[in-house]
Amino acid sequence: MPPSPRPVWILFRRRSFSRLAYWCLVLGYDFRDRSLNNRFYFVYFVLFWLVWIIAVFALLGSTLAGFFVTLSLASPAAAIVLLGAYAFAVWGLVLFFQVTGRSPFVFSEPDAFLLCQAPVSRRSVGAAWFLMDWFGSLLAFAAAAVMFSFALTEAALPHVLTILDLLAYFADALRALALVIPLQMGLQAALWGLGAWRLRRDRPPASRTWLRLVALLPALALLASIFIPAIGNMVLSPLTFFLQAAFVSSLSPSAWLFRAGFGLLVLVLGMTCLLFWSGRMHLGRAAEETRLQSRIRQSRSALDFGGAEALRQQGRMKTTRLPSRLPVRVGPWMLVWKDLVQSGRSLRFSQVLRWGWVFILSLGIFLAPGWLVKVVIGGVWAVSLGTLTTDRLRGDLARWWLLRSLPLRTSDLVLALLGPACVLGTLLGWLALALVNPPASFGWLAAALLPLMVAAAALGSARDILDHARARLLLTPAQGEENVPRQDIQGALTVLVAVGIPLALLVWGSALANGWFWALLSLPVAALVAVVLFRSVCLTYREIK
Amino acid sequence: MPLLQATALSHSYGNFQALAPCDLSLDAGGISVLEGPNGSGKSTLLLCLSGLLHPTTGDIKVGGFDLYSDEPEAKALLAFMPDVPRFYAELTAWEHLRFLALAHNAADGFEARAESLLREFDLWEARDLLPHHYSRGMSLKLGLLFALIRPFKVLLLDEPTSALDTDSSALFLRRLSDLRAQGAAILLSTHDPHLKTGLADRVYFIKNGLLNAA
Repeated sequence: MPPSPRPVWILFRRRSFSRLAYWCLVLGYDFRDRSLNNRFYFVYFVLFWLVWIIAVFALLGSTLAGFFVTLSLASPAAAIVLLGAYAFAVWGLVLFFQVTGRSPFVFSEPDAFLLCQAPVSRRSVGAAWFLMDWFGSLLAFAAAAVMFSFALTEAALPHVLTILDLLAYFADALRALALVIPLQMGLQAALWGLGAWRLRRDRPPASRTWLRLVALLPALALLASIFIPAIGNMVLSPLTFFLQAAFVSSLSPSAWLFRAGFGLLVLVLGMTCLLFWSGRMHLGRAAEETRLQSRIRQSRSALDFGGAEALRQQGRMKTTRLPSRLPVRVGPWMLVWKDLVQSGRSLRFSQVLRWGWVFILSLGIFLAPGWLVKVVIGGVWAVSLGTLTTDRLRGDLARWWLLRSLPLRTSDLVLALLGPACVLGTLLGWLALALVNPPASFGWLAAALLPLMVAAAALGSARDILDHARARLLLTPAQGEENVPRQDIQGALTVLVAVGIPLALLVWGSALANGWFWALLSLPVAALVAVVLFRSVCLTYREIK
Repeated sequence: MPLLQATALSHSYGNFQALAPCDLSLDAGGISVLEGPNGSGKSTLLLCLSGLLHPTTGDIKVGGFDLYSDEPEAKALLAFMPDVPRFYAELTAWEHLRFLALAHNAADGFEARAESLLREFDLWEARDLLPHHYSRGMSLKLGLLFALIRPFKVLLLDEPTSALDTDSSALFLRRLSDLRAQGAAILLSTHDPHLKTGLADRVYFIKNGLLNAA
């Protein structure tokens, strides 16, 4: 007896409806209320959001049309076609990379136990899971298509917009969607089909390396096309073939129909590929591969982004590690050792970017014209640095039972927890100072002041976090650091005052003809602020209730 | 002199008194078992005694040192394992042990000690595993090793056998007997009747935050 598709589609209907009901509730309509009033309200609800969506897209399209005029583009449609082709190509490559790495079909834990072990139709599972995911990814493409088509319609209007022109807007948007939707759906289905092929039952999973090597050639060609347009024309031509029909209004109806027909062909081929290979898919293997991904999705749907990030981090760190060879010393130095090992293993591009941002701000303090601008940039620098330097402290507070059981003096503990990040912040500041090469006297003074200001920023932020931390919350089981407070507005103000006073003294004193006294005064003031904050942080840590 | 002495200890969460004022002392070479229904205040008492939760009232002395004013000295004598230990995601079991041993100035003979403990608790093969791959039982065993890897005088354990298999529980009980023989003062909370009958020198019962010696 062939496996039954029915349970899969029951699940599909329930989940789709539950997701629709959730979003309707978010937007203001409750499906559970079956009163007559609510049915009338439903009509209003639909009309309201329809008009709102059209108005927002018209506004965005109008802004974009304004950009076309500003940029004096010879052919906005050609630019949009090229941009769209690049977007499709990059998205396709990213998706290719993903589906060759792990299953695109993400199964939750109940799915893994109930669905993946049951004799249900694999083909139905493939189709249902594809449809549930596809709609989310379509939204971005459909929104972009509508917005660009609105912009092109407005740019082509020979007169001021009237209500009668709405028909032209809708017609152009439909023309674009009629091409973009089948193309996007077909490509995604084909790539998911590839993912299902990799998971076929009768063989072990295909090697990721050679599968990914296949994508290397188009990726390199795409990269080269940025510098050599001829390569771009060649590589992107299959995509521009469709997108021209979507956005170029001068195309004849027969040419449009021909290309739209090809778009449908892509869709049919993609879906055929998906349905064919998903029928042979190993669901258990797919569930095994996507266990972590499903937990990340669950955390995100519960708006627990910290937990989702912690899970992603676990996924990146693999399973085992050889013991670190970093030299170690006893006592509080172990915290520094731990910090370095942790930083080395969990380094992410986003963290590098955050430190890069602090470096750019450090440059800005010295390069910005006028002391007021310098102080404003200094304020942003201080708050950003305060958040960055307390990342490790937050991580350690999340392991309160380990941190609080260490036999260390609070002062040593605070120094060990904040020290490494403060050293990095100071080094970046000194590097910025060296690059700017300010007048010698100002430079030396700024260099001497920098460690104190970095310390003040870190301590101001740490004080705020510790002040809001509660032992009972720190001890609750959590995935990430969601049980640890973040620096809030009060902390940001503390940091601004702590860093702002000495910085303002230095900048203002340096700007005055005989302002040496004020500039020099910044040093003892900064030292005093740092010492007061340090004592306050130690006291607050000891007093966490 | 008792190794751990708590006087007039109490804790409240807002208006809710989780632990009514109580006195408690743990002597060297004794195992005390803390029992009581769920939500009775067992974990709150252990958290207060370990210094992780600031008591609303009362003083705690460990080996004669005040837990708050002489914190480093008191913490050097005190080891605690919670019911759900949480580890650093980036450090392996081996590195966790190293971190704790060296933070407690117990670097001498670390490698031999760590290997012996990991083998004894059947975690040697998993020493390079990152902790999110540990089962609950493995996490509990690793949490216990955190205490055993460094010297201590007072050991506090919150439901230590709740996820251990039979062999591991037996090993754990043997270890507790050894520690008692070496002069450690041990307090553990449990719902396991075998722990109470087979091991306890003293039993405390707690209900609605009221602590009584059984």
